[in-house]
Amino acid sequence: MHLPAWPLQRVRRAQLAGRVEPSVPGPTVIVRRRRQVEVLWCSRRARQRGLRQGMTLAEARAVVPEAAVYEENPEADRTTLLELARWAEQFTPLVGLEEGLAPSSLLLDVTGCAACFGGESQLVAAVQAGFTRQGWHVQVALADTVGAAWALAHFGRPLPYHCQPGESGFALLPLPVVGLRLPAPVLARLHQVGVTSIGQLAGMPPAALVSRFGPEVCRRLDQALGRLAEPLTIHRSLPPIEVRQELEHPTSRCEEVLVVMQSLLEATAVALRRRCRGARRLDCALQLQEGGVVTLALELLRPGQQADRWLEMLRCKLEGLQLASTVCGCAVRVACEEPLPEMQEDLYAAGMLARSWEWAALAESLSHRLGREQVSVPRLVADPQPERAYQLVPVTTAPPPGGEPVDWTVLRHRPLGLWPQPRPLTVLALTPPGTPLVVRTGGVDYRVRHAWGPERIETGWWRGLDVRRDYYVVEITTGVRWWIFRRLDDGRWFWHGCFD
Amino acid sequence: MQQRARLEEAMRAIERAARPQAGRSVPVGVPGLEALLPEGRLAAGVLVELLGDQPGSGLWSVALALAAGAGHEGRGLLLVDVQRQFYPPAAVVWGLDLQRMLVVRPPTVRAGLSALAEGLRCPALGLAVGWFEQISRTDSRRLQLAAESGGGVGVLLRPRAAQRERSFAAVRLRVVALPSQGTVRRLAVEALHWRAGLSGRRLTVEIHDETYPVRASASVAPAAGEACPASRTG
Repeated sequence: MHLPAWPLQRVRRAQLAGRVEPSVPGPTVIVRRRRQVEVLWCSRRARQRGLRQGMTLAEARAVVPEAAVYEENPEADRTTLLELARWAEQFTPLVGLEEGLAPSSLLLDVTGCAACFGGESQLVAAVQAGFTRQGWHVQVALADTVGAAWALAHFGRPLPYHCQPGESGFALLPLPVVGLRLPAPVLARLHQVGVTSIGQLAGMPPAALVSRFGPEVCRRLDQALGRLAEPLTIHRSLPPIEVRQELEHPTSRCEEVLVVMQSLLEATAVALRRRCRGARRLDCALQLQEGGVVTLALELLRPGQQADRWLEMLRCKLEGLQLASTVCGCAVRVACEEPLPEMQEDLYAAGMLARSWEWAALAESLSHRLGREQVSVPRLVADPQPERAYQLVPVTTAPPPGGEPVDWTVLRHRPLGLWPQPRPLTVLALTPPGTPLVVRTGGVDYRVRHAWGPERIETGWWRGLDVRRDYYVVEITTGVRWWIFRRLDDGRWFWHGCFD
Repeated sequence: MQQRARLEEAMRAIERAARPQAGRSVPVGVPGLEALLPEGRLAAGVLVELLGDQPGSGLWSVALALAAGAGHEGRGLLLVDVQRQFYPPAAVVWGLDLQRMLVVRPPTVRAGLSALAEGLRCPALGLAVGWFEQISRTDSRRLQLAAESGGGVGVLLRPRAAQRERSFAAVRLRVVALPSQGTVRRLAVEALHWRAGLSGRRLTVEIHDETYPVRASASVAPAAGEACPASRTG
């Protein structure tokens, strides 16, 4: 089952769910950083407007200035695909991801499962309909082997493709050689000699294939035709770890609840160690005597197994809690678990990693003590409106790598202090070009010594509450620099920030 | 004079023994600013106080310039933004890694002080900074001890009126905005440090808005009655 342009589909889903800006989908591009920032994926609307894969970001912005730009995020792509794999287990317990660093296909071994759906055709239709109902664009193909199914899902027509048992070999013959999942240099050599279809390859002697193009061609061909077994790495979702304990004597004392929680957290840590995984989020539930459950979430920056740290975080949360009645039961559930990060052997890298762990511990402690929304990591957003040019992402959420690529030449002219709301300002005198000469705020008049600008900032009308402002950097006689703007709609002036 | 020099060296030895981390120097992000620092360097595990009139005196600029140097070896930056006015996009041009920056917007000033102290105790911290209108002597001492234990640099941004208060900061600098020269912003930085005879020394810091190098320019003005040091230009 192939998901075409998978990273783009994932981002579009996040846009619709409001998890990323802009929430209204428009032309969208995904870029990657190499020697320069270049376009990796373009949405259909972006392609219609002239954007192409391989363009630089600057070129893309010149063609479609309002395009939403996202940096590639292979980790998020893989995580979301694994969630789909878990969902696909309703069709078969054997679901895996295709090989490679950037998988975009799910492999479902449905041997013996067709009877549950009334036949293979019904199974294929159910898979297609199930994913389509969720809003995913999928290309489904059923064949005898992994290789054949992959090739047919990518290049077979019509879709969904249902290949009858024993006919996969014939179905593969007209497909292009790229359907055999060969490395790019091998594909280039094949095209050089005029070999474009799998049928041409299948008609050549195996010895000649190996000597001219290497052993990989034969291996992939044999796998696709069923002459060589291809193991499938199954992703099997493990049942969530959950431990609970009833209290013999209900209590409202924090210390007694913590004693019970300590044993539950230690049991959770043991279960995670058996799986060689760490917890990113723990839900600690307190069952109340008079009904109801109070759930306290522990969110961690990095997956871990340290029960003593979890207990300290829980202690901070319990100290400020007023319970409606006594507690009669406790439970701990691992809401999110992940593989543990690799340990570094290099001394310098080990030192950096140790420092990284200490930093993560600080962030988690502050977050749990002050509140999740109060401790954050800033992330830049490519939005011209200054207030929306950044986000403060809670540190315990999965941090996106790098944020959006932005124009650094613009950031040079931004103040370090920006008021949450622009403050009304009175301009008492203007120079002939229209720059402020005397301004009044807080009942005090200030003479402007220098003024730079205007810098016009306008947002698109399609955003609803659009802004149209002319910004000026003004230096008053004391040397202090302000960032002020004139609102173009009504000509009013505002003081937005200060170069502190 | 010799007796005074021996006494000062003895004091430094006692302080080094009490604060093992003080032997380590933290890179100063403003070339030339070392002239205003004790022993001509920024020691690890110290408190620095920057005093000025808000807004616009240049306190945050000097603080972030120090942070750019303190963030070496992958150390993090903790920013306690009680006023909720810090604008992260403007911090990028100072060479700061936003991924290694934690912005804390505490519900109360007390929570902000507590967060600052906890951050200073973290060995992975390079520099922690926050604006605080008022700090008690107890809180100041607590922050100093936290910085000594963690080895990072604590930068407290204070109003100019706090100059009259006693402080546990090892370095106290007053920052005043000066009229610019063209597009070059200028800040006057004066040492208020009451030990090591640095009180009164002044420097002019220039910030080139187009290219963003920050350097100290002009000669260091000596304190009254002090011999004029060798000329230093940025």
